[in-house]
Amino acid sequence: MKTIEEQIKDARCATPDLPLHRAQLRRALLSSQKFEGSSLYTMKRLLPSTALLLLILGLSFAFHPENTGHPLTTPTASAQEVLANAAETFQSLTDAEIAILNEKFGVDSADILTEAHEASDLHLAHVETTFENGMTSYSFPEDTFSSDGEMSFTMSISGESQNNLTFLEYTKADGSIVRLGVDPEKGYAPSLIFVNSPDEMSVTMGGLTEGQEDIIMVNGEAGGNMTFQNGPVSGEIPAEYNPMDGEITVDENGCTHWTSDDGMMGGGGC
Amino acid sequence: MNLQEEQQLVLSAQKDPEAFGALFDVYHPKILAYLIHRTGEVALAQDLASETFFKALNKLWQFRWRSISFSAWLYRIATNEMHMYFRGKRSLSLENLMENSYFDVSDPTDLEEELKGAEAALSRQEDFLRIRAQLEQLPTLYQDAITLRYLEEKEIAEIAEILGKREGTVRSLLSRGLQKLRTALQHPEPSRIVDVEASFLFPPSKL
Repeated sequence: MKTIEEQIKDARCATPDLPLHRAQLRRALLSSQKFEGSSLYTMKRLLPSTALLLLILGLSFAFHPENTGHPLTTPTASAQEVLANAAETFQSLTDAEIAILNEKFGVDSADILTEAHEASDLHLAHVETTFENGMTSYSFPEDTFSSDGEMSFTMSISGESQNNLTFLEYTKADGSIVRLGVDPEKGYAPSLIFVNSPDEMSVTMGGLTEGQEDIIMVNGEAGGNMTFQNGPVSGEIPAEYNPMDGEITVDENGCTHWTSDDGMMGGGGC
Repeated sequence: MNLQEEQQLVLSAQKDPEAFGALFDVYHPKILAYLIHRTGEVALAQDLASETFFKALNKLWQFRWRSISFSAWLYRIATNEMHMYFRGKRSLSLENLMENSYFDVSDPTDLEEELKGAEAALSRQEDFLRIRAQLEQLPTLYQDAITLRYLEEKEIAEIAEILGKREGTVRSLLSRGLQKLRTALQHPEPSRIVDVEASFLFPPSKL
């Protein structure tokens, strides 16, 4: 009598081969638009002299007197290194962890990392903030917010952390500016996303932090009612309301509270 | 190809499309066989294999040798693609992939004939189909572990890398999965074993 292991091994069939399919797929992959568009691959085709010229031009730009005093950026190489670390940490996550992270971010985290990698202006943004204080210490440019009185504000919070975050910043194809907060003490794990766009702002906080996983969602427009998806209706949104001017606290019961500088209060799920 | 050669090839493939082609030649037959073993369907396995390599190509820059072997990384992508398919997310077919790449399928009739021939060949593998019929009654995690261990002949350590589990967890999955399979084969009436058992055994990690 064969053991169950032997039965399975004996059942291991000679799987049918598909040489035509393989050849077609191979050609498609190696000639794909994505492949051709990748800077990693196109750089290989540059002549060494051209590469040297580009390097000189890049250095000239970086050290130009008008650029050396720029307070917000550091060389792209450092940003790519941070991004590579973030990608490596992301790779080590389980399916369940990635699913939760994607839910917190509201987007596919892998796509964000790929988008950042492919962005031509990826750099490190000098924003000094912790995960917990990210909402209150970050200022958005005024012209990207409530320009016509409308506001769409989404905020998700997952736990709390005192770690200082590193921020990668890049511009999306639609002109939106993305700031991705990664946690150096957690292998640069993606932890926080800010997205600025002319007609919409979304702020997402999430990631590999311990603690409760409450989510507050605020959607509305200035002058309208502010509603909390996982909590009570809190009141009217003032015309000049700026959600950055306030602070978020988490009490001993794990309930999240928000207080604006003008005294407006709200609370989310526990 | 030994590990050192593979490492060199992976490093080259991040800059050289031809090196990626060489990796494709080594791993496509293995990934396709795994997906056929795992799904029992040639056409589906073919689509999932296409998507696996498309994803691998686009995300190769994220790959680092230190964290996981290239082989395990590919199997992990293939496993994730399969799970996503069964959760309802459709995969790319070769035809769609080629359209997106502005690349025409030169002889679709030949590809169809090849597929029919492969499906006919698989339908003659009675022992495999009998085991598969019982295997697919098990929760997904057990199917993954048993297929990788006994049909793909992977070591426990590599299965742990592919599934993102600890080696002890993989051993538990194999032990309990085989027990369930043994019972199912002794009592061939199909009885659906619900996923909730695996959920209790392996609670999802807390973020």
